[in-house]
Amino acid sequence: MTWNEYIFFAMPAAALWLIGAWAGWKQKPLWAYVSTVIGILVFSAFILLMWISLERPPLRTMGETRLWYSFFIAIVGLLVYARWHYRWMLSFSSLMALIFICVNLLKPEIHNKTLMPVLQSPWFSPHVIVYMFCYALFGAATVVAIYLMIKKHLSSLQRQKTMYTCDNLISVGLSFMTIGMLMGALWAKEAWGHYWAWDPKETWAAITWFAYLVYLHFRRLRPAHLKPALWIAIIAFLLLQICWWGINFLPSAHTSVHTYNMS
Amino acid sequence: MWTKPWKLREGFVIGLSLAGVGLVLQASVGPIDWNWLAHPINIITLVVFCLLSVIVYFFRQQVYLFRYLSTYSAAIPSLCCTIAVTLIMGCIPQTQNESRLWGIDRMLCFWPFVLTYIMLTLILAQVVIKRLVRFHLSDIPFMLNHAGLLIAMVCATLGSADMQRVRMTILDAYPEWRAVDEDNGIHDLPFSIRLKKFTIEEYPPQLVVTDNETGRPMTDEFIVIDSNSSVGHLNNLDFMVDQYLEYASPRLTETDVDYHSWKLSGAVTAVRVKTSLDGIEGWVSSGSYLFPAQTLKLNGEVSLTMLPREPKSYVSEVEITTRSGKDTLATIEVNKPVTVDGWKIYQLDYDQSKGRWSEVSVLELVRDPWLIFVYIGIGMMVVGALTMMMTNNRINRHLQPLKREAP
Repeated sequence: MTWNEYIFFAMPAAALWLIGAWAGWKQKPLWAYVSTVIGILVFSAFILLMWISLERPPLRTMGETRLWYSFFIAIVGLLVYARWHYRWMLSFSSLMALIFICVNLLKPEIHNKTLMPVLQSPWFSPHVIVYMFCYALFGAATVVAIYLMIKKHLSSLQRQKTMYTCDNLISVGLSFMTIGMLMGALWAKEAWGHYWAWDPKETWAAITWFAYLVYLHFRRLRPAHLKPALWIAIIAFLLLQICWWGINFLPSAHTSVHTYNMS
Repeated sequence: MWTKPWKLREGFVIGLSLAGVGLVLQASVGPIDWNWLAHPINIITLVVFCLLSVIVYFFRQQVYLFRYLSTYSAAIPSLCCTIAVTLIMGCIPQTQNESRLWGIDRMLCFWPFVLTYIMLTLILAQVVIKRLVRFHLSDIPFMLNHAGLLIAMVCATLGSADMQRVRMTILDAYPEWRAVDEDNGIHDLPFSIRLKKFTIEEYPPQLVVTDNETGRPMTDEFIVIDSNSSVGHLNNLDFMVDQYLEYASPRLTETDVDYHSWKLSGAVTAVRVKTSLDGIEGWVSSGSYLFPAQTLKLNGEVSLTMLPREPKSYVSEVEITTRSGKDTLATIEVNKPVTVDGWKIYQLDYDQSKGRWSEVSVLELVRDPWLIFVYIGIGMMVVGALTMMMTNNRINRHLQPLKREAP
């Protein structure tokens, strides 16, 4: 099994996930579950066959790591959908999985990219996958927030209901972010000797984390004041962008140990 | 303003005043020296902090400020102030040396930064005590998140002065007892370490096409040489590896350089490459501390070059002997530290100039007696985050009755 056969597994899996997403949106849960689960099985078959042919878990290169993103995002999306029945959840997770599938199909040369020793850790994939998932959830929350900002003619009830979607996204996102950040801390202890060294990336991770905490606390203090809360959500997402990639353009970046070029 | 109940505004004024006090302290007593917090002062500080928090809680009915501390109206401005000071830290390059920017380039020793975090911790402590006093099972996620963060923050801060971090360079000639800290102070350790074997595993060699003038790769593309007959396509040219020597040394011939198998310190990796250009073939090597790199000139503008080999892993096999004479054999590599007598030993570095032929290994040794408590806090937060995911819909239920105070 090689990357040449990837497309024959990835495309059917993606199609099945998209059918599941459509069924989830149309509130046909049985179809959503069946289609998504079969999609996951097809995708995991490729990972398994790849694993057997490589004689090691496919976790070494960036391309292989992206394989797991797609896989886990589909699984986590399904779990979150099963737990809360958000109709948008499967669309969202399928889209994320699809992005990573496309990157793997379009940029095959990265499959050979080597991983420096510090990144070769069992913490690597979960840390990055969980963060990617939380970034995605916050992205969706921001879309909802901007929608609420622009749409002036919503009824008060509609407005509140949409706001709850934003709350849920941020709340789940923050849970993932907390877990991702703490896994990063435990990994840092194993790799660099300390769990929190105030490296610029860590500092920005803390800033973003606090910013989303402000959102959740503000929502509880003033549930009726939507506008300031929406602004907080948008500002928090801007801070997240600096943490994610904007940090490379800051004067503090050159002291960071998190300077892997992980395109 | 200042009419009860206090709102966000009052919280921001308190936060700003605290930063002002911090600036005065910074100007008068200078930056904070964390070393004074070393054992037993940190234990005393912990006891004082706990007592103070309990006292503040008990006088909440008498003193309005104390009552205010456990409200959302106090927590949000405190979080915002924390973001503000952390934001400055995230933008300004930090230094370990003397500050040149009035202290903001050494944020961890900057009074306004530290006071802002202390305020956040005080608020966190009040909120935790308040919930603890009238604890209900449904408070478990809340307690895990808030108490976990409180424990992790307090123990990490107080424990930082007790943390020892030293480096040790080991050789196979003799065991080493001493290590140096970042100020070049020498420390005797309760055990010795001797290097038995140091090995570097490298990724397969990679060939790129480079500019003859700058020496830089022309594109991001490269060929990985993973077997004797690797083929590849770069810069509209086909390449085929004719011969691959993992360990080799150059030998001058009458007209050219030839490589032959040779496995001693300083050996290079060399490949003989045929190209689709007529008559252009020859050796390419990455070079070592002993021999220069060899490139294959393709035309007047570009050459075929082997990139420096990237380490896949580096491993020290060591013998650790404690003062009582107990010998242990251990393997230390990046991401896989070894724990001995409360010290965690990390693979840090090697002689980079010699690469895979390095004869020394650099280890980092870290002792952090407070680590276990920080981990308890972190563990509580992880479980708290998981329970928060599971009980997510509660947010909606909380929001509907438009509750205001009392987190």
